[in-house]
Amino acid sequence: MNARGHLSSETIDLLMLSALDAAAANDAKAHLDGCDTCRTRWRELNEDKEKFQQFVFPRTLEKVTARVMAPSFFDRLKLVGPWRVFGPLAGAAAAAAIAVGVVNVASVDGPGTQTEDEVYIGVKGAKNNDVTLKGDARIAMEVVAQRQSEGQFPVKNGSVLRPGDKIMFVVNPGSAKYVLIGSRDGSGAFTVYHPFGGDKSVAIERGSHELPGAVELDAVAGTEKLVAVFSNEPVDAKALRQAVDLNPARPEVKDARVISLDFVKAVK
Amino acid sequence: MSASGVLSDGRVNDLYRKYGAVIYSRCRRLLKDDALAEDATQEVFVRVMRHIQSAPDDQAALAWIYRISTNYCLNQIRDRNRQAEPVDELPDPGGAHPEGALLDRDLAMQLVQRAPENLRAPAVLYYIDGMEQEQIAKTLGISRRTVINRLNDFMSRSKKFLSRDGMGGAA
Repeated sequence: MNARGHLSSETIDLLMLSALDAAAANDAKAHLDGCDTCRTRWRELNEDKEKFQQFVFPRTLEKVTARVMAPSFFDRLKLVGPWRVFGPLAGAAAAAAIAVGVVNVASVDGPGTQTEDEVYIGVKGAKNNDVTLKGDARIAMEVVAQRQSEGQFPVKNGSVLRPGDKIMFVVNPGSAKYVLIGSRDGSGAFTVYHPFGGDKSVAIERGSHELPGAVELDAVAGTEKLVAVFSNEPVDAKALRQAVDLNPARPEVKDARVISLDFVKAVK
Repeated sequence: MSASGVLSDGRVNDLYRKYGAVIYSRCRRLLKDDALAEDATQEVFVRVMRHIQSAPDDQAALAWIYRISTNYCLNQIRDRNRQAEPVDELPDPGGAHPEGALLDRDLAMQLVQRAPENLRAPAVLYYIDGMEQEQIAKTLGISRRTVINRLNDFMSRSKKFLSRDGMGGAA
């Protein structure tokens, strides 16, 4: 129950999804019994659910599935050219791909539309100090691996990858203007993955999107740490490396938001 | 994340069946138009899909749904209002204090439409969804202080609107 004496939409929605624990569900049901306002909202939600399942879902499923399953930004890039980023060619490839990426990202949702993060009302056009990077919940890094025999799959903390797997990055910089992604492998070697082989952060577009290129994993076994730094000023790769060396479990860079992910590279 | 490589048709079907009703209900509530709500449901689901497929639980999935559907619907309303006649006259809240009057979601929604854009999402989440300030801050990715300031600003503007129309209590 909120401070105004009613159930929040979240509680009512979670109740409908059967996602509340037993005690919370009982409390919510008890409240519904005694509150006309919340009971009306509960009834409306169930009526909408009925309507959705009976009419909207069958009418729209095919279209929605087609749109969700359509080739992703990364897949479209692959159609354009060999966007695998290997060694010394990486810098130029990444720079070119960024340029392509900007165009493609802008066209994904069609003219006159924006991504959900760009349209985030209250942040767009806000002053820089309105949202601190430390507290910006939008900032995120997801890692997707591609294995020849198994297709793509998400990489989480503790995931086991193999030499030859390719990893791609999906990032949302929130209000940050620059990103730098590095890696420290099982032997302690540090490599900058984005911009590949670069020496400092690069500017990044707003909204959640896949970074151009992919990194093919080598044969060094052990735990590899991926570290992404989001900042409003460029960060030197050396500073990131020092931060990882200093505190591998929780690297920190001044005035920046650091996100890390550990995976295990297993060599047969 | 590249949805095409990780998802199957069946997974999309399951997630759409599960969360589609929540999205549809929310869009209906905000847009007050069945056809627009149906279109908005599809659009929001496609946008939210990559987030909810990896969300650790339903609560995290709902946070994405609230954020993206709120932004999408508010933009739809803004675009609609640009093309349409001026927004409706405010209904008489019956002499209630503005804070009490805003318990009426229809009135709250009309006041939201008259507010500056940066105040709208926090106001919807607070007055329409009944979220607490901390939760709004997390959902929108802004500080709690910013939420408080925006809600205060919204309330102050709402009082002016209500008193200008001869309704509502003193500030």
